[in-house]
Amino acid sequence: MSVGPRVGSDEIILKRIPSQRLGSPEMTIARPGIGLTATSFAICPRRDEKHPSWSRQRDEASAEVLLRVEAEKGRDISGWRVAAVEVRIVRDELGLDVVANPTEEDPGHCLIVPTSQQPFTDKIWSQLAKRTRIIYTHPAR
Amino acid sequence: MSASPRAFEQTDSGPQSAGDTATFSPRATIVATRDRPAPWLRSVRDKLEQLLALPENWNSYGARPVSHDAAARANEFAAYLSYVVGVVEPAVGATPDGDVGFCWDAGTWSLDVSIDGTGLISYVYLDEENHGNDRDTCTRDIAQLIPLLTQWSS
Repeated sequence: MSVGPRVGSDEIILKRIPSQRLGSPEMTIARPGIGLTATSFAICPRRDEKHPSWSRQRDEASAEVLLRVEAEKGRDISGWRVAAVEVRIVRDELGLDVVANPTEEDPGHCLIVPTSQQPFTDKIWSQLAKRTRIIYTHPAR
Repeated sequence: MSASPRAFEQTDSGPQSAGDTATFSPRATIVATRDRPAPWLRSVRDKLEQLLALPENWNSYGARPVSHDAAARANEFAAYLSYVVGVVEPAVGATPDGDVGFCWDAGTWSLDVSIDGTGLISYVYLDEENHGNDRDTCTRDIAQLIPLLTQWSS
């Protein structure tokens, strides 16, 4: 997988978060003084995954589009959410970077990558999770 | 049905009172334990049971199903904490690797804990008032988390 150019710091990137219906894992948490955010487990990569996938927000419909991609594959997206974070925060506050990695399925696909100043650690995902915000919840059936 | 918490003052020489099992800390820590598990244990156990039904790729980014061993270790972990006064119900989730994740956020601090099938507890503690207290480590000793979750350390 080749990585592309850096995503602009003024951009926002998005991540799908599974539904929090009964029987689903709790992947969001209400944080006092902050509001509803993703948990670290919702945004961290697998141990064998090099870079976690996110998507660039193009317009106000991007969040819903991000979920509809999964619906077209047969997934029930009722109650699914989309978390967002500013690239500026990822880069300037946490020391990670974001690079474009468009795919056929998602032209806005991008990757969070480590830097020489900040490797991937469990702590960085906890810190990043606190800085996300839930911007979209797909209607439940 | 009310709990009857007992207070133990623990020092390096061990608990001062005999009887119920006390947790150990390298510093003096007051820990109160319940006679019965906190009511939230039932809810957490239900959620852990439900995690086992998650399919491959449950998060749409390639997550693995939760392992039975991880759920069992997480059950033991939750049961232990449910006897400690001051520990509130966590958010119960799963990690992309198929481990169980617990999250607490009290505003001034947060604790993210993942438990794998071997019982290894990986945790990140963030102290928003003093990041010098932040921790990112792993252990097999649940008791290490008690002072973080109860904030009663002296």
